[in-house]
Parts: sequence; structure tokens; C-alpha cells
Amino acid sequence: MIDKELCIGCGDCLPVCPVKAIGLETEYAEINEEMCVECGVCYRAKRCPVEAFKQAPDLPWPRIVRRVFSDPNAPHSATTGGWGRGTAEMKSNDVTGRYKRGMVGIAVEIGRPGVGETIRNIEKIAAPFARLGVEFEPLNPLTSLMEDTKKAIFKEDVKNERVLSAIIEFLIEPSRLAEVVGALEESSAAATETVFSVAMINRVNPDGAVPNIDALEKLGYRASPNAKVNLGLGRPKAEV
Amino acid sequence: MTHSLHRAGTIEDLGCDYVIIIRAEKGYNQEGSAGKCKELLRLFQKHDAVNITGARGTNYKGNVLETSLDSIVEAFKDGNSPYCVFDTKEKLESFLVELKEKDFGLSVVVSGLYDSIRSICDKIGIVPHTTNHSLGVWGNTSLLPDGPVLEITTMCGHGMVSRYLVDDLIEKIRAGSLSIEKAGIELGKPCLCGLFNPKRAEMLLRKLTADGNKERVNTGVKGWAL
Ligand code: SF4
Ligand code: SF4
Repeated sequence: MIDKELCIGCGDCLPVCPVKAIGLETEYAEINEEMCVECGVCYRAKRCPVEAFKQAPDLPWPRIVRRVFSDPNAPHSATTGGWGRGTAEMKSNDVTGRYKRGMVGIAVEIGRPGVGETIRNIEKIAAPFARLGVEFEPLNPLTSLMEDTKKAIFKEDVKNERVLSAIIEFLIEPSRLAEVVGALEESSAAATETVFSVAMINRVNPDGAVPNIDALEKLGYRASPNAKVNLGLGRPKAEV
Repeated sequence: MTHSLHRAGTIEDLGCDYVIIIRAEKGYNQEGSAGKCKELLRLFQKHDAVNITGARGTNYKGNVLETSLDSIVEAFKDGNSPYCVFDTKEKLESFLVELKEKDFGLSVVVSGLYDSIRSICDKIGIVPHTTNHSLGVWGNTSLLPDGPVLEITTMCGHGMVSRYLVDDLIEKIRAGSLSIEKAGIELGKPCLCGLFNPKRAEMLLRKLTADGNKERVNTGVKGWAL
């Protein structure tokens, strides 16, 4: 929160908020609690000349949901114990073997880049993937907020919370890629107040070729020219 | 945690932007990894990385744009992950050659133009294990800022770099009260993971503040649909 007694209304803090949650009243700046995702940027920015920003060390449930999903410096202590949006995803796949040959990993990060979304609307965007009958990654913190992981129904008490982004992760057989693309189009139409970024994870073939890129092109979509590449230098090696 | 993926940009712009993420995994190789990670942080510096950091939570000291590498190294504990950014393919290659030689046994992820990474891997004898490709941005993309601004903000995958801060600093550059170099560094400070590339930001700010340049640059990010 901003200490109204200290604030001199200079407006220097306003641009640092990624979701424009800080507004300037006539004499002082104020945080719009509904829009604020508790990302912590304004507290760390050290822009305020009178140090009027006071960050609550602990937030009550369910408000804390905002912070753990939006502030990369707040750990998901109750779930994966990681920082950021949740899982190690493919970063250590060479040792964990989470993504195996013959499967495709799909990660849908809702709210990214820089827009944010409420859990209530995330539920609508997740629904088409639930209808595919996929299993949402159990170690992902967003899955832990679901009451019904088969239907992607979230717990009632967290639905009004807004986060900067949250990731849906699941694995699927390559033969179902067309269905995934169909679900993405459906989710895209449901995302009227936000955006989402999609990623496709593949275990590389022994000859170094990346599977499923051609299949995706045949469906009329292409992967970006930049990618994250796990070099396979970790040990002990997973048998995948 | 796909924080280095989904960086918007033209092929040309992305050619000066390679992120390294080292990961020691809990239950596999994390115990006692802090020493190796500290050595890796120094190696990043030796190969002239343009941004470095990694430690989180109470160990968090900032990235090298706001604090010294020594303080980051000192605070490093088991479970923290070293990160850095290189601004040329040549630096990436020289780093990977030494990394392979030293054989730390930790997971290494390189994020950047896939063809460039692949050609270096072929050259030095590494067969990539797993890839993660962006399939673009979906939904109401009219909510996103234009090309170069989006290229700047997406260099922090956690969304800590505000588009409004970019606008604010552009105004200051235009008014002559801030240099482009300082603005590039300023923009990288909110990026906790140190994945923000201040050199690339400088290049983009130059485009954005060039006289009479109001033209929108198409980054190709708004949906990769053919
Ligand atoms: S915590 Fe984040 S979202 Fe909330 S006001 Fe500060 S910068 Fe904005
Ligand atoms: S920077 Fe500080 S003094 Fe200025 S408006 Fe913000 S809170 Fe108030």
C-alpha cells in the first residue's frame, strides 16, 4: 500500500506498474486493489522519493494467490516449492524425464505478456482443454487451485483473484495435435479481456530433428524461430 | 516457468539475444550444487554476458545491472539457478565450448534463435535433448503494445518490465534528460531473473526515439498462424 500521509503526489511511481494499477488522486497516489496483481514491482522500484510504499509481509488467503503467481520472488511453498509461475517444465528434462519421446508437452500461459487475468476468466480459457480429456500437470500450482481437475473448475474462494499470468500444462499424443489447435482457437475466442502465450515441448529425436513442427505447419500454424533448448548436459540422465 | 520463451522480435533483433539458464534439480543433482553455480556465474562474466543473476527469495541481491557480481555469488545457495544473457552468437559459442569442457553435470538451457543454437551444437558436438517452441500469442492481441515496445517488455518473461515505463523513459530520452544507455539499464532493473538484455533494449530504444520514426515495426509475434 501507499502511505497517504507520506505521498507527495509526484506521480513518479505510476509508470512502473505493469498493469496500470497505480492511479493519481488529486493529492496522492493510490493502488487499485482489484487491478493490482501483487507483483511487487512498485515496492522494489525504489522510485518513490519519500519511501511511501509499504509492502505487507504476509497476505491473507485468498489474496496471497495474486502474489505467488505474479511475483517471481515469492515461492509457491505449498506446491512445487519453485519460484515464478510454477514448474521446472522442460528446463531439467534431461534429468527428470518429464517429457518423453512420443508425447508433446503443451503449456498455455494465460495473461502473458503483461496483461493479467482473473482466475474466474482463466477457468473459461482452460475449459476447452479440459474437454479434450487431458490430465493437467499435477505439480503445477494452477492445477492445485482447481476443485475439479477433470473439468478445470476452480475453487470458489480464489475466482476473484487476478494474477499477472498462470500456466496450464499437459501432455498429449502427437496424433491429437489437431484437437489441441482446435481447443486453442476456442480458448482464444474466450479470451476477450486478455491474451495467452502458447508453447510446445518436444523431446528431440536421436538424429537431432525436432518432431511435430512439420505436423503443426500442415495444420496451418508455425513455431517461432526462437526456442528454449535443453542441451542434455545434466546428470544423472533420465531414460527417456 | 517459460520465462525466457515468447521473446517477441524480428529474426534480426533476436540474433543479438541468447539466454542461458542453469538448473540443479531437487532430488536429482541439487544438493551441493551451489559451488558449481558460483563457478558458472564467474564463467558468464568471463564470456562477457550483458546481464547475470539467479538467487531468489531472501538470497536475492538483484541482477548485475543494479548490484555487483560478487554480492550475487556470495548469496548463492543450493537450489538457486544461475542465469545470464549474451548479446552475440560468438559469445554464446565461446561460453558453450568451455561449458562442455568443464562438464558440470547440471541441466543447461539456451534460449534464442533455434537455427543458431543448433549450428553451434552441431559444431561442438552436442545433440539437444528437449526443445520448447513458442506458438505465439492468442486471445485479444489488441491489448498488446506495438512492436518494439513489446520486444522490450517480453525480454522479462515474468512481465516485470512495464510498457508504461518504456513510454516514460522514451519521453525522458526525447526531452534530453536521460541517455539511451542509461534507459536500457533502467528497464532491466525490474527483471529479477537477469534475463533482460540491456544492449538489445538500447538498440530498440534507438529505433523508437529516432527522429520522425513513428512507423510500427511488425515483430511477427501476434499469432504465428500462417
Ligand atoms: S504490486 Fe505490482 S500490480 Fe500492484 S501496484 Fe505494485 S506494481 Fe502494480
Ligand atoms: S512516487 Fe511516492 S510520492 Fe510520488 S506519487 Fe508515488 S507514492 Fe507518491
